[in-house]
Amino acid sequence: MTTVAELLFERPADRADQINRQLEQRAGALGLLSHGVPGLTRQVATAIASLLDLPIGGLVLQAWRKQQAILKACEQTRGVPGATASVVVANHTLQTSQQPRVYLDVAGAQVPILELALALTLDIDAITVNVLEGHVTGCGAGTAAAAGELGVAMPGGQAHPLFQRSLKRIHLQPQHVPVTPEPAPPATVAS
Amino acid sequence: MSTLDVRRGRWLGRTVALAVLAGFLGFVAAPVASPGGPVDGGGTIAPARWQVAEPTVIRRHVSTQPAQPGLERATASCQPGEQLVSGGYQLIQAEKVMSSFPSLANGEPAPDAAVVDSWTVEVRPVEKPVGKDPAAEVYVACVADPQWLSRSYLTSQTFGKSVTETQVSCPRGERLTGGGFRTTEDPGKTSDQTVVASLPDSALARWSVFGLMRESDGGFLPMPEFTYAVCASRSGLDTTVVRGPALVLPPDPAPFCYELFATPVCDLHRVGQMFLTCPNGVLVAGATAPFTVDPNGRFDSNGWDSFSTVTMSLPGQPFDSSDASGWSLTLEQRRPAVPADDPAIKADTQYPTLAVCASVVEPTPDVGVVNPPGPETIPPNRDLAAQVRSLLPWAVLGLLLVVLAALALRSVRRRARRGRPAPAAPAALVTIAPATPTDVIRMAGPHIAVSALLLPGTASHTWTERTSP
Repeated sequence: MTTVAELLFERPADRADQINRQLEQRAGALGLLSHGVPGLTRQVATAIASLLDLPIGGLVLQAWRKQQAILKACEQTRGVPGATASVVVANHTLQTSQQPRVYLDVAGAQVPILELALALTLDIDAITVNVLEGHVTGCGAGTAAAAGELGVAMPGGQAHPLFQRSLKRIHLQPQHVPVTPEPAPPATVAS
Repeated sequence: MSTLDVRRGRWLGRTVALAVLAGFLGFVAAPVASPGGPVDGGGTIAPARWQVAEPTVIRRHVSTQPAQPGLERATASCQPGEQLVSGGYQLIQAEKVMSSFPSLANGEPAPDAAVVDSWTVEVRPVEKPVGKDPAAEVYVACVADPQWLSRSYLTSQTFGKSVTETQVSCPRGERLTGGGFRTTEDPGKTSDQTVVASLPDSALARWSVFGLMRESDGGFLPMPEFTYAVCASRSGLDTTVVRGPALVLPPDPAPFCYELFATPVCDLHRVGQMFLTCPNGVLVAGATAPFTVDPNGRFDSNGWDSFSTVTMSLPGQPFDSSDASGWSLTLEQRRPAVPADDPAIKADTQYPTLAVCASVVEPTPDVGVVNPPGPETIPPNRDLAAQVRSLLPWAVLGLLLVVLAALALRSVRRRARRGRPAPAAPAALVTIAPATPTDVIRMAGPHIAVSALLLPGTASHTWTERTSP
């Protein structure tokens, strides 16, 4: 179990079709008919489907700044060459909400046409977050119970739910934060 | 058939032909005669379905008036038909700004999520004002757009003894256009709230206020502070927060220097000014803060310069009601007894600035969309080419009608010559009206792509520890 799509959809391979069906049923309410673009709903569904290829383990890394134990490990290792820390986050619940936007790119101008509401709750049994010299470098494998909901944000703060699903156990696969390699030190010339 | 009938038929046929011909010529000529055709040098026609419009910001200002001892207040309001975008102030004879917030027209604070149309500012005037200048000017920025709806959202918090941040976010689907703060007076005057910065968050659609409570007279009575965000809902509206160029505090050109306990020191008065504009879109709110910037480019309130104050933060230029294209900022530093060798005596100090830029992207009205065109939805000139192109089929149809009318006339004349009764005049030909070209225009769309973006900065995360079973 890796991605948000696999959490939200029983058949993740067909998710674009499923999203398309939901959007078409609500196209009027969501304003998708108003743009005068034939086949827009299908294109929006495809864009949303590709967005959901997000690894769930990556959410843990996105949220590390809110975790005191990880922050403390960063402080302790910051500026200490080679200092590493492994923080085990056990029996924690991570609630994360995001608002992806769907844009219509028309002749170079981006038109926001939908704002999504993606909410996930992970009841994490245990996961290890790795810290090197003050930076989070990745996380190890873990397990969690997960619940997810995808909707469309409407003006006024309301959300139009599209999909929701919960699973009692998912596997969080290891994630790594891409590290920009430091430039090599300048060569020294012996005098 | 009499001669009169023949003449009547001939006259009728000519009339029909002339009417159709005139209609055809007018139909074709009218759009071509309009100015500003966008056909480029290569003869291709520019895509015309969408436009990026900049909301037209209107702004007004009023002077503060005494409200109670030690406090002046004023409220500037948008006119009926206008919607609030943001607001600001200019301190003229005031020690500090106590409040600058979206409000009801009577100056009262609005409840959370209320529709607002006014901006209220409260200041503490100087003890000995000079002349008749007011303590401050209050500015409000508005848009005249029937589709625009502004609400204010608020949160309250008690400042601590060190700089504390309060934030309020726009609900999903609404866009940040401004924000402010309201402090409450301590009845016993034992403590003093000070707002040191009021600015948009560079990553998220929320407004941040930094402030602290200064203790005085040995007492400390926490009082609530209210942070406001002005959020707009409008189809196609998008706002972004961009970092502007640094606001520079130059050295004091004439510092007052003297010796203090045999040490040379100077009293400094430095003023830095900035007129912020947006690279794209129109600027609806701007801000600066006497903060340093951390290595990640964020404001660092730990680097707060306690001697500096934002004395002007307003839409457009001060007093010039015609220009609301940007945002005026002034930061003033009054620093006493600075050692004569301090770098601040001779060097610039730079402070970051932020701007909220707004644009409306929407279909041109002729696509038959949803929204009635507002003031800023007038199609640009480039639409003309598409209109001409879309009318071509009708022009061909018109030409065909002319030919048919001529044939009908010929037929009438022949029948009249043969003594047969003339058929009824083909009145239907002249009543053909040009249908709305909506469908034709829709067929010729520009390149369109759909993308979905998930920006980590828009996420919120909460960790909670579960109690073990």
